[in-house]
Amino acid sequence: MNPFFFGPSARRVFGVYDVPADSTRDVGIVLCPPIGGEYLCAHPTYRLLARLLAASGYHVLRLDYYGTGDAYGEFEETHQAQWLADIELAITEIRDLARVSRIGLVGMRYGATLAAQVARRRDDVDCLVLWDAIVDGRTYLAEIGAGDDAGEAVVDVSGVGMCAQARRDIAGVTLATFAAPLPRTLVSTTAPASDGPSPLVERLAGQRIDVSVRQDVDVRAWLEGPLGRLALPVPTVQAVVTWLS
Amino acid sequence: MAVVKPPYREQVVTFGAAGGLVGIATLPVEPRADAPHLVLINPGIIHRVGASRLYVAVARALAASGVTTLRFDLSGIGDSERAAGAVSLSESVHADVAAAVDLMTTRYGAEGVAVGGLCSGAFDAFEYALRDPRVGAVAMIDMPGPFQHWTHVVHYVAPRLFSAECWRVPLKKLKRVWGAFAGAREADVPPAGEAGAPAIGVRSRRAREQMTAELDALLSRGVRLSFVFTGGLPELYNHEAQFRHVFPRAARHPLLTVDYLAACDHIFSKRTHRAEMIARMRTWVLAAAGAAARGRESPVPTATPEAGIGLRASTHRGATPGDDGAMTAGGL
Repeated sequence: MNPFFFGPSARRVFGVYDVPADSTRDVGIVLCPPIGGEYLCAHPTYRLLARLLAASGYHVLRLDYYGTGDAYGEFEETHQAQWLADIELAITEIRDLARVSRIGLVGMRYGATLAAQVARRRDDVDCLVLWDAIVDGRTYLAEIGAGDDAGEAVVDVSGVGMCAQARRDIAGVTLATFAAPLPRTLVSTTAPASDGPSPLVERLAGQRIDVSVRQDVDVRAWLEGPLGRLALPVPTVQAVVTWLS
Repeated sequence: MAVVKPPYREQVVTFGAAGGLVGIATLPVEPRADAPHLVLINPGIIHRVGASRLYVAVARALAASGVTTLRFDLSGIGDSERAAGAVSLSESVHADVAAAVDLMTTRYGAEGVAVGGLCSGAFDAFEYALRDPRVGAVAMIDMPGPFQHWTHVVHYVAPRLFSAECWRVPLKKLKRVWGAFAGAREADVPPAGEAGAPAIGVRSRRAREQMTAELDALLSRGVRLSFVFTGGLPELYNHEAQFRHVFPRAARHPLLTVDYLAACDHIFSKRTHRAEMIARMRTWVLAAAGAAARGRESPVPTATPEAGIGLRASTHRGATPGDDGAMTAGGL
């Protein structure tokens, strides 16, 4: 494991590179975390996922977007175009570090929504995991308590400041954000089966995207964990590793 | 557009046994020689960035004032390895913090060291300071401890007795009243060793008498103590004078400060709350630095209450627990 800062000096982001002991795989995996307070809760799960993927022979890079985690900057300075640019930067970095030519992207919550957008515009992404992706930005903003603050420049959201541009970006997310071309995709959802089929899966299948689905009520990694409780969604992590492998 | 360079740079550090501990050192561009180096300890299982990224913000704000900070992950938390072997939680934490303090003195030239943290991090900082004479200051935010007092119970219960919601649900009311009293009673019960799981975090509680003696010991050693309590844990702390009621002698000591930030929640989820906490931390650390400078000018460089962090730590540098690197921790 190699934690390090990377990127241009004016915009240093942070990553943790997990190196496989033995690998002939030509695929590097970039883990795209959730944003805001959900990032913090998801950290132990992403660490576990990175380790298991490395044990399966993958080069793995966990990313902290600019203004999150250990990266430089403040979250309130950032918005979607920059988060997307950070994922692109991480892809460039792992291609350089691991000398791989193919990429896999794993995203959780809004990180999944971002990963899908990056995957769509690149031709080197072979596989995509959308873990409880945000498919309705307005509902998401309401969930995290940023739904009624359209007029304010920066609002407090789950322990971070979120700027108006970021809220506008998020509000614009709908199912239509997930559009072909996309590589083979795993949709992992913790929504109960009684909710019916995932609208995202139906959307992707309708676009003739090679989509698999894992629907299982598991620990919600972006909600559980801090302040003394460690709850890892081990079955989902294992399922993601198995699917990627 | 001109790029404004931050007044700090950050380095990833790996240290401890087999380099298994991971941290970020925030280094000021213009270091202040008399300032202590600060080590921040995980709050619960949140990794080194801290709740609401508070530790990142504190480290960078202090760096702008010339202070070096290390925020790191204890064994088994964040990116640090779960150390081999099976030792108690307190021994594991002690070994990890000792390795962090070693790093600050050997690699970054610290002459004085402060330790601090939020919640369990505060508890760990307090415990560590008791055993390492290099520590000259301790910053504790919402430290779990025997702070309950009958005045605390009154403050906790009274508003609830008069709330409409409370009367609508009599059972809930009874539960809350009992819970408040039980909390006060528990504070008087000696801790049942490491096995006792406290209400906050996984650290064992200490008896009030024990903590009274520990406060006396630290203060007589010249250690500066900062206690900050938020309004986020009313079952722990709920009014300005609570600390003074529980620890009247220590509360009068000039090296000890107590702040009650009633409007803040436990994780400092609002920017204004973080800004207030950061400002208080900076003032406190710089006051310690100023005292260190004054202490240097003193003909007797010993641990008087006005002697600073730097002098104490430099006096004891080398007598370091964990110097041999023999850390065997079980992690969390």
